[in-house]
Amino acid sequence: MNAIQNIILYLSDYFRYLFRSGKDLEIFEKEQHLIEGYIDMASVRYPGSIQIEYSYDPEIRFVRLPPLLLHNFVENIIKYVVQQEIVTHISIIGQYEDKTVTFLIMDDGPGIPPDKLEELDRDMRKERTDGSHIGFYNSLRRVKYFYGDEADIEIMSDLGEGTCVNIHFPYNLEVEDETIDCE
Amino acid sequence: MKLLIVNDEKLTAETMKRDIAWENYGISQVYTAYDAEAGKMCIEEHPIDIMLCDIEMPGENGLALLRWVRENKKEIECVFLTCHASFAYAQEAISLGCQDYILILSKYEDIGKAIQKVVKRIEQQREKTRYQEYGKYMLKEKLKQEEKEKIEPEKIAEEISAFIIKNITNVELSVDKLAEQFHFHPVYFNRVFKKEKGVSVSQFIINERMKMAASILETEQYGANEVAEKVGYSHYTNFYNMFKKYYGCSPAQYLDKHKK
Repeated sequence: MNAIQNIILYLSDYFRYLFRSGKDLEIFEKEQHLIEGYIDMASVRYPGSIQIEYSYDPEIRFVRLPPLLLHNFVENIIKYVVQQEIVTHISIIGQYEDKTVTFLIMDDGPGIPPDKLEELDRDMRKERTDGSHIGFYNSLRRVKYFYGDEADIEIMSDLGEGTCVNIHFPYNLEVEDETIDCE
Repeated sequence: MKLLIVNDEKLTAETMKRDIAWENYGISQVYTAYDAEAGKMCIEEHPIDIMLCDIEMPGENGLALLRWVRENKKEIECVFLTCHASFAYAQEAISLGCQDYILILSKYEDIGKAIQKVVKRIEQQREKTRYQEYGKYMLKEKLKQEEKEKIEPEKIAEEISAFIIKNITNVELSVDKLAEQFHFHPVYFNRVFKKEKGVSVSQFIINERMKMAASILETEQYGANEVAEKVGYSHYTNFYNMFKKYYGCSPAQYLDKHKK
């Protein structure tokens, strides 16, 4: 019963986020909130099969992202990797280093065969999409559109070792020192 | 609190002074004046808190008296007493910061209550000011104290990195937990560390773990899975991908290269 309530709450958050008014980039915390809701929902379908851990640098929560950027890749893992009766570990890492934000989304699933991986990379970087691997294609277009050409998405995978999606883009988060006015 | 009644009708002023139970409304002493000039003199001589003033008086009227009070920056609240319910009066009275406006004829009780309201407002205001003063004082003291025990970023960064190295195998090691332990805000904590060490806390942890992992691998006594555990990774996935990112090759490939 509780699970159903949570699913409905997640879905209402999801749609509100999806149809939100006019803003292009959203604060990281909203994305994270949605990912957690999605994992809760997926865990109802695959009880005990999903283990997830998050590890973020403190600056990451001030980063603004194109909505569902990370969520899409988490969805992929649930769709293609997670199975009943097998525990899949998912790990999301967010780092802020040298004015670059890096997100690593990894799983310990069976991995993608080299020829498929090459095809995926090629489809993602095509000038025009023919509709294959459109999720990856769109994600790459979006990060390049918002953060410039230095932004990139790399997919690394080894059979038997799992897959790691590396999303990185330049981002300046330098904040001024706050001074205490004592008068 | 001290009240000044200004009214050109001597009898009204004196009976109000005598017949209203002022002490019940928070007033300890009542002065009277029969025109604006006498009012000013009384204000100069006594620390008046509240003025209960008639508007219509021969010579300078009540509004002029209040304007004088404001111009001379006296901290006196004012309640007007008048039989004119004129909007023009009310407007000017409000612009001068008058607290209330009593239309006479009024019950003594209502006059008393109107004054009591002002007394309470003044008390609250004074309390607030006291707290503010206290707050400012405490802040200054705190800053002085902090200057004495000045935070030395260099020393702190050293302390943190030493702590990390000592606890490198602990899977719970994270920026947030470290910041909490060292009593810093995580963002500030990371910034201080980065300034001194050139890398963020999380990257420093990764670097240390990777160096350690490589040296354990080179002994060839442990499989990559065990090494991951030994250097503080709860899941092999994290270790594997971090290793590849750091060394540009998988643990197995690394071992192959370093054998030769």
